[in-house]
Amino acid sequence: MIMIKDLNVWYRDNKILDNINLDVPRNVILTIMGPSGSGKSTLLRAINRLIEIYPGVRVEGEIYVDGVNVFKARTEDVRRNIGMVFQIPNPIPNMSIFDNVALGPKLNKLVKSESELRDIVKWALEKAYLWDEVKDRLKEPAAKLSGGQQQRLCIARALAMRPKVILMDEPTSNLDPVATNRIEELMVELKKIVTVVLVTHNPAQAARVSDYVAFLYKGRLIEVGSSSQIFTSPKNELTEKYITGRIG
Amino acid sequence: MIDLRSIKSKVMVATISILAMLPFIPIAHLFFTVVANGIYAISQNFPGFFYMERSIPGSGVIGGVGPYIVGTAILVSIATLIGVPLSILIAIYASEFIQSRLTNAGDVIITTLFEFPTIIIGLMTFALISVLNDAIRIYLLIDVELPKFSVLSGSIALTIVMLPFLYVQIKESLRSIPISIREAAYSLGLSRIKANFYIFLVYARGSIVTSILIAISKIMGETAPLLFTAFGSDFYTISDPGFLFKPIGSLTLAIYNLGLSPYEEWIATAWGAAFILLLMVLSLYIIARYIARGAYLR
Ligand SMILES: Nc1ncnc2c1ncn2[C@@H]1O[C@H](COP(=O)(O)OP(=O)(O)OP(=O)(O)O)[C@@H](O)[C@H]1O
Ligand SMILES: [Mg+2]
Repeated sequence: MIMIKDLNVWYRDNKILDNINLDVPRNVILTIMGPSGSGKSTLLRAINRLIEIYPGVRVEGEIYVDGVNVFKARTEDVRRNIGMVFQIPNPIPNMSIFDNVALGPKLNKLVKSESELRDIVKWALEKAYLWDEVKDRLKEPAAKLSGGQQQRLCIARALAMRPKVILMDEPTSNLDPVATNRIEELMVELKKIVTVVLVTHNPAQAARVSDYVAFLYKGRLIEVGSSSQIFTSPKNELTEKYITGRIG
Repeated sequence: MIDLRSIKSKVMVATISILAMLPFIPIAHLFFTVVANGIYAISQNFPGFFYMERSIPGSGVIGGVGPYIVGTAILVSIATLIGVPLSILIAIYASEFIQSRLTNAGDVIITTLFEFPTIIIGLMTFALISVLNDAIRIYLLIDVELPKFSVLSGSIALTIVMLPFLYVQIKESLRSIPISIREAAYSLGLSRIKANFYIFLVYARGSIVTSILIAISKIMGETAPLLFTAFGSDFYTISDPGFLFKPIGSLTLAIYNLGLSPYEEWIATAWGAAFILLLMVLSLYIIARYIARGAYLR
């Protein structure tokens, strides 16, 4: 589903990602683990080219998503087909709950009628396990939701674009354990319809939800493997040190 | 035992407090003078004061300020209709292309304009229209004369007065949008234009609306830029289909002209006009503060 070939990324003169090669199969959760500053967010933002909104970024290499070379396609089209969820829940606070989810389909003209829009918003909110909590307050501003609800709203916003891939950058790092638990359940459910690339600081979370794990260290991809392999018999010493909490 | 030090310090604090309040005395005095004289004038001819034209001097009757209210409303509305979209567009450009040369040049020009005395802006508008007229005559060989004293030129002058303020405020609102909101917009595949119009402006709408209200209250109280442009008129002109090209009055011009006249009735009318203007400006300001508070709460 996602194929990354010889990816190098610089911020000005600093090389942040060094020759990354990575394949992600369809309908799985692949988790990128690694210590702070190892380039996890950078790698994630390279996939949907969101990294290009930062000044001074240079990218080399190829990324294919669903067979399309993202660096040859229009940025808008690339981002439209890849959903993204961020570390700090970022709904538009003064926009209504409904509008936050409707944003993508509406502004990208993915729907033909109001009723179609309503259907897609409902579908996305249901998929994000949020519908029951908000169905009677769709017109309220998103700022009124709790942090966990806001994050699920952001997941719904991403889903409403009907993406094939969803990128999640530490989506639970600002949430309490209950909210985290809900999002983890949701991720597992979501892989039926999308491919999830998850970034996390937390090896335990990686172990709970992922099918595959990639370990990133100082901009280099140290090891990739199935979740069970990485957590039971890591091949690289650094990986082992990281998952046992000795680095990071 | 009496503590001399504490007494001394209390005396000092009291003195400083009184001194600090001194500047407010003339302001309060002015405020109450306007309110008292204004309400008195309006009560002499209520509710006619709000829609009648000024009275004949020596008649002993206090007329009204109807045409001036309408004039202020028209001038301010046209200026706002031109000034707000224009400053939003320029501010979006400036916040998106921070490094561009055009942004730097425009920024210098507009912020300089900010410092200009508003009477100069009135003169500039006056001169601008003369230049335009010459250009039309020479290059297009058409003998039309854009009127220098008109609703249009008055509105243009007010637009130029409000533009720098609005530009600076809106640009700052847009530049302070957090990166997380920008990422949200761009991750949905929006173009820069759509992201700005449908997301960033919405996100910043509280502070932008506040700036617009303050800008409106600012130009509402302007006299100087209107002297050489709108010029002033004491009668209803809007029934004339060509009124946009004719002079028009305003509350500020009326306060200036009637207030300096030797006639008692007109001076009273000027007080009434001042009171109405004060009310309008104050209420806009209060609404603006209220919205700004709400915007911080979100
Ligand atoms: N916009 C930017 N401009 C310049 N350097 C940046 C920028 N964003 C990130 N970096 C640098 O790139 C490196 C990798 O950052 P990145 O955010 O990808 O790491 P990360 O693995 O996601 O870390 P964390 O776990 O703290 O989120 C860091 O050294 C960081 O300082
Ligand atoms: Mg990160």
